[in-house]
Amino acid sequence: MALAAPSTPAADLDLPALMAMLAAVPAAKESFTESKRSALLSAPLVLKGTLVYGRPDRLEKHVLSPYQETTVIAGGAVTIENRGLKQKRSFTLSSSSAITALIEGMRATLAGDAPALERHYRIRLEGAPDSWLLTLTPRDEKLAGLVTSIRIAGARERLKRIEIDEGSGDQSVMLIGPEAP
Amino acid sequence: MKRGGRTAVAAWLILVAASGIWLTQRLVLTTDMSAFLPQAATRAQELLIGQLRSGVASRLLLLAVEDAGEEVLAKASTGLADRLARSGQFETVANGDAARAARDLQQLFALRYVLSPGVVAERFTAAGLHDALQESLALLASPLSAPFRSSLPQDPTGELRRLARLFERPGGPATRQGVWFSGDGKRALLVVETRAPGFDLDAQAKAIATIQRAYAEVAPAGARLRLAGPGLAAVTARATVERDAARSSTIATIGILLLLLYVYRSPWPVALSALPAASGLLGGITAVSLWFGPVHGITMGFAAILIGEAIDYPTYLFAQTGRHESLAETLGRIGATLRLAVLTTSCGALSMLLSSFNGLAQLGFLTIVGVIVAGLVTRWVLPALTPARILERKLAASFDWPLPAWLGTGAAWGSVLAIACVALVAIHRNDRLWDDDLANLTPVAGESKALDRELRSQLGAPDPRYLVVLTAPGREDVLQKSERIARVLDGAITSGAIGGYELAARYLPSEKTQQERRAALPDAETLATNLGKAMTGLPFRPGAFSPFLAAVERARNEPPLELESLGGTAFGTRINSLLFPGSKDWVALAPISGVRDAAALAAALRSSGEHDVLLLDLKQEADGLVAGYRAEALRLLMIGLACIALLVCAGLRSLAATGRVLAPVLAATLLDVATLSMAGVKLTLFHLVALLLVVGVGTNYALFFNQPQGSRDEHALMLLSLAVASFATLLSALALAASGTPVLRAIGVTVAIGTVYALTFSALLARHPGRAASGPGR
Repeated sequence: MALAAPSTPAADLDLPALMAMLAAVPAAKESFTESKRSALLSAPLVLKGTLVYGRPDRLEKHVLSPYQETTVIAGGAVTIENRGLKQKRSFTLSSSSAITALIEGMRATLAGDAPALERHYRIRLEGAPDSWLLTLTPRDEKLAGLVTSIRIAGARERLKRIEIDEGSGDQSVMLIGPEAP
Repeated sequence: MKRGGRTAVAAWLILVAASGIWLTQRLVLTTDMSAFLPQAATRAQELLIGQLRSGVASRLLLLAVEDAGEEVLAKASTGLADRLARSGQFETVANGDAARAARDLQQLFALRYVLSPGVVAERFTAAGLHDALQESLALLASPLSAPFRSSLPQDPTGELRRLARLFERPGGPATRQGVWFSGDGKRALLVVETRAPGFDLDAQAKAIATIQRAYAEVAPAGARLRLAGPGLAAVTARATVERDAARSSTIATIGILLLLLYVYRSPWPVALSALPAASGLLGGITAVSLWFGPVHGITMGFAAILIGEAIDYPTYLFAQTGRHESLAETLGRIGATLRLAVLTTSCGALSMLLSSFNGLAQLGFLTIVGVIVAGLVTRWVLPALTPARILERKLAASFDWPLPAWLGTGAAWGSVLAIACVALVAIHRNDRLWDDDLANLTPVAGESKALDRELRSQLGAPDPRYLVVLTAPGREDVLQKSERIARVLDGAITSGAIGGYELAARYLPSEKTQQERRAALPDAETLATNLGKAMTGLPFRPGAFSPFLAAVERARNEPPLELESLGGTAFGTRINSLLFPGSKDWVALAPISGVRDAAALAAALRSSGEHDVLLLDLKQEADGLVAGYRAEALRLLMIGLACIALLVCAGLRSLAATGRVLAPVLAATLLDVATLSMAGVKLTLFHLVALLLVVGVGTNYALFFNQPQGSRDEHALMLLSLAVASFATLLSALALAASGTPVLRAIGVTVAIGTVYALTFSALLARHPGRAASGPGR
């Protein structure tokens, strides 16, 4: 799934400038719609909910429909709670380098932390400040087996859309912000 | 050379040659320390000894790579683990690597419907499956669950995830960069389990060398590898003892050579002096090898010390030979005393033969044979080999024993007895006389003990201390019992009393449980119908879970899981160390880790109402074992002393003379113990062995002091021989006392102190020509 190519390459954006813009955001709360395609599914699974970010390392994903699940990442601790199934699971982030890399893909982007991002991914940035596209390719082999690429599109300091291609062929597209359908 | 002498020399040569040939061809040395443990008196002790010898805890080696950056350490850890796993010397190699754990889990994946406690009938109804599928949907959507994604079509009920959680090490180490690290992130941690049992020190040494070689291949610059574990401690201890013993004996040998050279002023008597003790050691080892089979290394070490007394025999002979006297004439004078000296030592050692400890019995046998051979060689071979003239340049014995003139016989007796009484009181009042901590018997430096403790707590490795032992008539019974006890242990984890446990039944459920789980799986048609209903309203593609239907059908028809079908896997070997047939029944062990409240655990086990469940505190049992060992050794020492007393009485045919011989020895031994205990030393088994030597040499001193007196010259020669003999003993004892190894130091200090006391007391109580001439109260 191709993203709309930036139309005005005139005002080019470099990574430090983008990271500086992102790093200036102390906190954010946005709604999202995520559409998940998988060989196991007859139709895409559509999740709706809220994303919460707090500088520098707190990330919450509240899935509100079709089921209720909250994932909280705070520092190195991850807690996943599924209220419908009455399940709660906690683990330490550092316990798997693949999962760490996956989370840093989003969290380091939000934090504008270029070194953290560089550690886990090869980075390609295209576009202008008003419409940019960040493509992350995992360096870690284990992560590469699970996730082939992450593409994050945004406008200035706001993330608009996250596409994740999984090694299994599954794909998820997350639209962020009030304009998310 | 007379005819008798020739026969003796020929017999001696044949004996030495035969022993030499036998030993080079057939000698088997073992390093199994547990030979010095008693026959188990109780069930708990039997298990303890089994665990000490070859239990899981005895085979664990803990590794830490430190002093480098986190990423570098993690890479070294992975490289090291790969190499060790390939070496084939280790049952398990664990460094927390998820890939390694995943491979293990993969083995279990096929067995998930037998192993997972989540397999109950409700899980496979339409409602149960609907819940499971909703969970699967959430997993599918969450990128964090990517690692489990590929197994979803075969395992929508998530049994693999349940197993993974079950096998997680509770209270285990933190994971960074995908491998285990200490909490502060400064050390990458690994645990390996050797294939070789803990008591096989040669194999343990080989495993340690393999680790060091493998590490050298992956070693990052500046980083270092640190090792701990019972195997390492034992191997290091052996190496240290060997090195220190070799150094001490070299120093002692040089010292004694110089002393003898000074006394004899000729190399020949010095060389000949070595023959009796060397022949004795050779003969003794051969005898033990013939009688017992494998000879324990530590037996040889102790025996070399006890036979050290035999070095004195030629001294008694050579030093007492008068200026124009033949050795035969000297032997005529001192032969009876020498014979009594040999017999008292053998008699003292005879009691050790009665010991239930194989190691002590060997030690006793070796000492008896060794001392008798040394005595015979001194009596028959030395006179035949020694030309009289080579002793002519000997130091002129012109000194008398410096005895205070005012000290009459009565005063001497009074003071020796008073000292003995004071010593006895001091010993009696000391309630911390004995050190019964088994750990203190191993000569490991405190620093490595601390490292062992530190790594163990960082790793959450099973504490080698607590073990729940379950017994039942059959394997199935003990597995069922394990499953019931598992619930108690789970409760103890929840209440925080313990951190976690291991149990064979986790990997090999009882047939009953397997049967129940298999019965919980519906037939193909029912399951397909239930799954169809469960998928209603969920966006799964029809047929997405057909691998699941096939897997359940396969599991329903599979024969019960047997230990045999797990053979060769990491789990098979794990089970074998946790579940085995005992002498009468089956035994299951549950090593407990992270024990915070042993009393609460014991109470929970008691209130479970299960029989034949034992919470074993290995440390307490081991301490009890050492106390038992010490009590037996002490009893044998007493029996040995009684034998010596009877023998001396029979040999000297005089109660007064017997008193003059035994009183100084007893007083010296008591004062030796009192001195050590007042210096804050807690006595161990090694002190007891050393005391045996003190009794041996002390008796000899007293016997020679009291040998029938001839001329003043003969008396002076006797004093010379005693001075040389005691000085030689003191030299070797001091060389040991200066050693860094606690075991050797204990022996050296005890012998050095005891020798001085024994010599002093014997001199005080001896009949004295000067004293006899002037009479008491001059």
